[in-house]
Amino acid sequence: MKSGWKIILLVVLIALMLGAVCIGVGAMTGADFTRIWATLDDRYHVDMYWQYITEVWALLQTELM
Amino acid sequence: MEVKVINKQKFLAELGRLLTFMYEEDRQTALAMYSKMFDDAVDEQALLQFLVSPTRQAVVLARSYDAKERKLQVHTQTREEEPDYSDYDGQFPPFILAIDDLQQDAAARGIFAPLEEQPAVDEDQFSLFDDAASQEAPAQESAPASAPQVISPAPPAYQESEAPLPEDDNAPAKDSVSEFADAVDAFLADFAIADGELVPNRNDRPEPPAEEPDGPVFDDQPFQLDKLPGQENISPPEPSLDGGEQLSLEPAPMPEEDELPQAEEEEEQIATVRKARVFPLILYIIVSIPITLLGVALLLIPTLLWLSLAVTFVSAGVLVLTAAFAGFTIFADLMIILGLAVILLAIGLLFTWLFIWFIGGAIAGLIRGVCHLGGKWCYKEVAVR
Repeated sequence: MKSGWKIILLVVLIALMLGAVCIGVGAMTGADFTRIWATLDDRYHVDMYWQYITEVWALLQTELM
Repeated sequence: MEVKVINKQKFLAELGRLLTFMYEEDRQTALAMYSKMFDDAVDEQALLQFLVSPTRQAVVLARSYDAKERKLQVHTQTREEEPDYSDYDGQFPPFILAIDDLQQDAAARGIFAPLEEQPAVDEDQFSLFDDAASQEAPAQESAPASAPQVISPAPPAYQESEAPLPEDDNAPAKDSVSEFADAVDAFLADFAIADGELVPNRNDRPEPPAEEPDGPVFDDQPFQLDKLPGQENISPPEPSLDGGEQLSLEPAPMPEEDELPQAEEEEEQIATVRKARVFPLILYIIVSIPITLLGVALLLIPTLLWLSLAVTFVSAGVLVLTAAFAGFTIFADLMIILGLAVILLAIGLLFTWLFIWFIGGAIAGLIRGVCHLGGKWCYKEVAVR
């Protein structure tokens, strides 16, 4: 288990650094986050799910509190 | 302790009973060779002291007996009326060589009657020639020229190959069986046969013969057995050897040497047996099962939480990764999406590992700890002889 922890943490750390590098490179080369969000929303309807979740959460807050 | 008086008949009967691992033809041959040794011996007791015990000889033969090789040989000889050892790769089986070495060694010790009339030499005077291995004395006393004629017990089928052999000029020829036999001899000197079993000999065993300390001393180094001109047919089978070269035989390990003392020590050791204390055990089971179930249930909450988070992050990472190759055409946006996918997958991997750690580490550790605690509290060790 100890060696498993070491391996997993090492892999996660490397992946996080790689992801950070990719995001940094994209940001420096002219990425537009509004355009990215619009593309993802067109494909996965992220806004719709987000609004649904916030409405359910607000309803739960009013019912339970 | 009872000392068993043994003679030729008892020795051969005991040896025949111990050689049941051999094929019948080989067993009869070996017994015939030993019987011939007794017939040729001047002093039967001296020969018995030299042979030490049937068990020792059985160990020597078992060490040199190759059952697989002999199986093939015996199967090929089933149609023949009597065993023919001459076709054993053109050589004799190793167990015959082992007995032959014993005979030569016994002849060298003067146990057998000389074939030709020689001036009576006191037995002590033989020791004068022991140190000078390259002298003429071994050639006269233990030379195979006389030994096969005096003690040759081999069947007629292979007697022709026992031509007179010149003695080695450097040292008396020994093979691994003889070396092993000396080691077994040292071990079995402390034991005697009583009722067919090997029993430890305390102080009532007679002293070993005086020639024993003067015998050749072997170290652990592999020794060389020079192949003599007339000995090509009686050397042990060695497939990797070329004709006319020296045989190098490694001394084999001796597993039988430590078995009997270990068995005695195990008998004398005091064993400990774990016995359950019934009432505390029942009480512990009644209390520990609900507590364990409660602990498992509590641990299942974070476990399932890690599982749900892991599923969420991994699936989000996969979706973002697939979107990166499907809907983005600008390089900068693609790098952002790839970076985001890698980060999501990394977090998902971390949560997956947390879930595995809770299942295999925390919950299994809790159950294992409860069982260990129960074993510690509810069992006691009782000494049993």
